[in-house]
Amino acid sequence: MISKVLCIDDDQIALVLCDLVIKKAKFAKEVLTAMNGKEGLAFFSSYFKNNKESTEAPQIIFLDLNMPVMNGWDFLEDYVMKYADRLPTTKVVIISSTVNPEDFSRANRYDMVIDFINKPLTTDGLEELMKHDELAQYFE
Amino acid sequence: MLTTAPLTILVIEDNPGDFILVREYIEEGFQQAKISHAKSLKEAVYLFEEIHPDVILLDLTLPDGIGIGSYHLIHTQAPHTPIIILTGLGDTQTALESLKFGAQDYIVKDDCNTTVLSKSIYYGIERSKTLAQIKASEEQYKYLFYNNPLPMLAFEKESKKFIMINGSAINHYGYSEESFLDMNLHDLEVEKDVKAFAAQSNGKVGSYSTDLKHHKKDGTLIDVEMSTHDIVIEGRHCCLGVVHDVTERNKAKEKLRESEQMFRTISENFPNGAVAILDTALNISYIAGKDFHIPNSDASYFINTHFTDHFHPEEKEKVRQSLLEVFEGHNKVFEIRYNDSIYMISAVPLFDTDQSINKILIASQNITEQKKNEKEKELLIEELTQINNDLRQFSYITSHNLRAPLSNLLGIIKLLDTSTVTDPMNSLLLKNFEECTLQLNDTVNDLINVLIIKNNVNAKKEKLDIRNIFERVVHSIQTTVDKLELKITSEFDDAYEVEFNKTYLESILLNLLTNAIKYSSPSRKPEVHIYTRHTNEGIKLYFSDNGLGIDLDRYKDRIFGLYQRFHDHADSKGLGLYIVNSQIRVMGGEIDVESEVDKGTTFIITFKK
Repeated sequence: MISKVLCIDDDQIALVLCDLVIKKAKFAKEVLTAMNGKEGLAFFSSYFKNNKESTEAPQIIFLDLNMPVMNGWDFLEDYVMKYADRLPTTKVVIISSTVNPEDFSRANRYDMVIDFINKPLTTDGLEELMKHDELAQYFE
Repeated sequence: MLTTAPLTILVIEDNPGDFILVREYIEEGFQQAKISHAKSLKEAVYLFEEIHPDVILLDLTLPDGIGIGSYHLIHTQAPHTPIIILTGLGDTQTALESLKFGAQDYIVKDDCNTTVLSKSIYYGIERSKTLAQIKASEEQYKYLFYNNPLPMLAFEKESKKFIMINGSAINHYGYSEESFLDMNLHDLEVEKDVKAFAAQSNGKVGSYSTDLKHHKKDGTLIDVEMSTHDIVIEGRHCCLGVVHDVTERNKAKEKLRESEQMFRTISENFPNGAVAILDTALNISYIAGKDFHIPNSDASYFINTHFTDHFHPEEKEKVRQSLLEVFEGHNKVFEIRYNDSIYMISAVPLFDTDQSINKILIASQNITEQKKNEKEKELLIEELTQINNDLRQFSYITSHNLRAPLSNLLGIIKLLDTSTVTDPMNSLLLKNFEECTLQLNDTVNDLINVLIIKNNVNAKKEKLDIRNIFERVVHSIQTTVDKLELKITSEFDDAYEVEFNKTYLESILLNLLTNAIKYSSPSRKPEVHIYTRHTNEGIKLYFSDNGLGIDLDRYKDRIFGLYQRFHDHADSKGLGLYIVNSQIRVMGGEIDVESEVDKGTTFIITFKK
């Protein structure tokens, strides 16, 4: 099981559902949440300020794209610049309701983005995700 | 004496006395003369062969010949030797006759003395020489006539009857010499020339006629020019005509005139612009057209002026530089502004035969209107593209905003455990709530599919095997197929490979198959038959069922439209065929339908080549 997941989404209900489904599917022990990209970045900023071990960082970020204040793409840009190198084992899964084909191709350009899931996140979807090459190690 | 070489003289005289007398006169006149004496014609012929005399003195009364006969015999023997007749008083008539046949002179023996004889001999020899020369030059002229490469015709001045024709005329006109000699000049001419020529040639020694037309024997008409000279042939007043066949030359001239005319027509009517020819100094040596860039000007305003002088100072150098490059052999096209007008100038080099460029051709066209239209069109396209993009973004955002809460509802339903709800009414409400949510989700997904197909014109095409795709589609709804005992038959033969988008083809076949199931007839067992055919347009796929059918008279034009429903069916949203049609169209294909109510429906998909 994954120890820590960070969900970034502006939709409160979606965050609640995410938490429930993750627990139900036994995908992760701990679910952290952020309401937009800026909060997500703040999480990592304070994380490094407190000199925490990299093993305590979330292994997965579930990232929504459309958010106020700072959207998913802007978050990714900053994250890549500031933190990605220091957190090589942290992967990103985009969870969105988008239908814009450009979003799908754009997501492909980031190495740490390992999947793109259309909302809602379900236990079936999580079970699929567990089989992913990058994550299989956590579920042996 | 005038003659330096000693003369050889043959005297043919049977009377010894006369001979002695003659010899004396000769010897007195020509001291060194060699005199031979023949007493008869026979002897004379013999002696002639031996001595070849310069002159012959002939008595017409000989033992073996009397009168004119003697002259003929000797003349035949010695055609080029001058003969002087010696005659008695009573025979001057014969002597005169012999002059007609070429004798040089006659001397009456009784009047004979040294002076008379010497003079006669001397004149005889000289005259004979002149005659020989005349004869030779006549021969030469004849040769020139008969062998002249130009057709030559000699005809009588009055009757125009041909009397001499050369070989070239025979070849050229195709008449034999005999035919020619039976014809006159008018037989060659066309009606109108007969009179004109008569008028023109009257009373002139030599003339040159142009613009004549002559018939050949085979009927073809040739253009000729003829120079004629008056000559006398055998005492008759004649004309000698030399014919120049100018048919080819005139044809070439006419062609040149035509092409010049054409060029003029083109250049003078050059639409919305002008054409000009410039020399190396960029002077305008020719200009014509329908639109000159300087208002109220015409071609004469520009001719012999400097081309660049007609542009504003700031443009001059640009024009000059561009045109100079044309003289280096490059084609040039550039745009130039004059006041509110824009002209497109195309310039090409004109190569001389030695490949040098001393002139260039310029075509200038007023493109102000086009430019304006182009600009308007560009603006319009820009505007439309912007609107289209805005709309697309709007639809993406709307879809997203619609899907976001819907996905939450779906997530909730997935997590909701209805088994713990004991109140029957709440349980029923929750069940309906779930159903509504799923329906809403289906509708939204269908709409989004439409949106994505419309916007995704670049969907990937690949080679697909219809047989495999169809098998997979049937497999995906195998349980439904089995439950309804749907009978599916297919026949693809060799037409099964198409270029298409895989997802679209799966979606199309699935849509058609589920439609066939949805709208099957309750009164018979459902059947589906799918088959393909090669056609000129490409592969056609026929998808037939034995279902309810559609009333095409009423619905044909709406069948592939959005939100069109033809059956009262709970499941029907009126989207399936719209999506099918969209997917086919975006791949460059076509779909058609044939149907009969309560018999069945056949969809025909054409995969274009």
